[in-house]
Amino acid sequence: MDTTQLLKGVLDLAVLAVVREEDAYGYDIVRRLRESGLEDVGDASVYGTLRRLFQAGALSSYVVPSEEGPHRKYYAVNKVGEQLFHESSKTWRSFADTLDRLLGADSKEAA
Amino acid sequence: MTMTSAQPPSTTNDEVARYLADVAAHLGRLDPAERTELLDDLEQHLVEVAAEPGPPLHERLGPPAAYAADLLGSVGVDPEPVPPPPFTQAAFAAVRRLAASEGAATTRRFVRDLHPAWLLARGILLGVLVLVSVVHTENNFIMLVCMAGGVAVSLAVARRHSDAWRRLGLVFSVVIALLSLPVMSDALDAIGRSNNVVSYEPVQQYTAYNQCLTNRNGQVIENLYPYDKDGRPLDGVLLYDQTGQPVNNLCPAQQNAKGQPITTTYARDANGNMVVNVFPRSQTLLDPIAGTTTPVPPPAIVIPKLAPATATATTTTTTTAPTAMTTTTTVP
Repeated sequence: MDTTQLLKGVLDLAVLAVVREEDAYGYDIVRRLRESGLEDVGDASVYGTLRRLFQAGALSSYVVPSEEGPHRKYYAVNKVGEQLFHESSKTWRSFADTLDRLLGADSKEAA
Repeated sequence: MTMTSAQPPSTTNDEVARYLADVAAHLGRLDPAERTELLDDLEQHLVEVAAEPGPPLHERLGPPAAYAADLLGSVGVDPEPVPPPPFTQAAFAAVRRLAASEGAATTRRFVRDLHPAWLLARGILLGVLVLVSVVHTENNFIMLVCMAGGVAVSLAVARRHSDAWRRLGLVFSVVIALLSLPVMSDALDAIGRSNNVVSYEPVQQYTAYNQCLTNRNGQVIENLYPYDKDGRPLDGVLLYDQTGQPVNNLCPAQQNAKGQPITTTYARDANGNMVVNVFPRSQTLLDPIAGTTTPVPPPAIVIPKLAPATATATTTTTTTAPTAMTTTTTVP
């Protein structure tokens, strides 16, 4: 099963989850997503999703000056983002449970 | 997050700048303000990516075009639509050019100009169709009335402008056009026939015999076989019509059914003149191979049993034997 398509559906939720844990900048978010197990996540997809969530008002941003390197733009989840996160997680849970139920009978046979 | 010393900043920056420029080239679909902001942020992002130890940007992030497509997709902008295959594109372009061309405009005008003529034509055709199928008449006046009626109907339908009437008019035109095809084909056949010089009447083919006697089957009469009422064949019978004219317009026999030549020997009067109205005519067949002549046999006939005569005939000479002709008869 191609996970790219699955990922496209849940990337918003994944990005929100990561940023909710801790404010982060673009590349950091990519890294953390990959470390959590989503190895195939595309750099451009994450970055694009970040921009979209920001445009939609679910994320706020601020710049942190750095002495060592370039200034970094950090993203944080705001109230709208928080609400979006909750709704999306509920949808996901429901969907995943349904699918698990569907697979429940089969997985016993496959085992 | 540390900067590797192995990569001098200028090289990294050059690479980032190049990659960024390449990606930017594919972001034309974005609105300019969004595009500027996105590119600014992306520059910083790419610097970070490049700062990580690893392969060059191209390898890590893939081709700039694909990166740009992914970016657009996740930002929510439709990526470039798939262009149709070149052949289809060329075909559509050609059709559009044709439709817009001068020739097409002229054709459209011409067809519009013909419209009134078509209205008239379809009315006449309707009249003809009605005549051919329903009203069978040879009366010219009725035919004219039919055609005039057809034209009136055609014009009446054309005068209405509502959508339903327009559709009816179109259906009417198509139906008339289709039904008229066989009628027109027949009409053309008839015209062709009337122009034909060669006629199929058998009598007329024998131009030399165009005054010959013919029977009901169209066959030329070459001999007459008299029989009395008791079925006995008669010989040397002279025949005259009601004006007293000898029957002299039989066709001279040429050949029999098998193609054998026939010779007719006419009776002669005492002066040696031919007497052609003596029947049956003496006819013989020549066998060209054997060189022999045989008489043409009389045809098979059926003698009806006649009812007894109520009065005696005024002229009787039922049995005669061939004898010398009397000179009192007029010879043609």
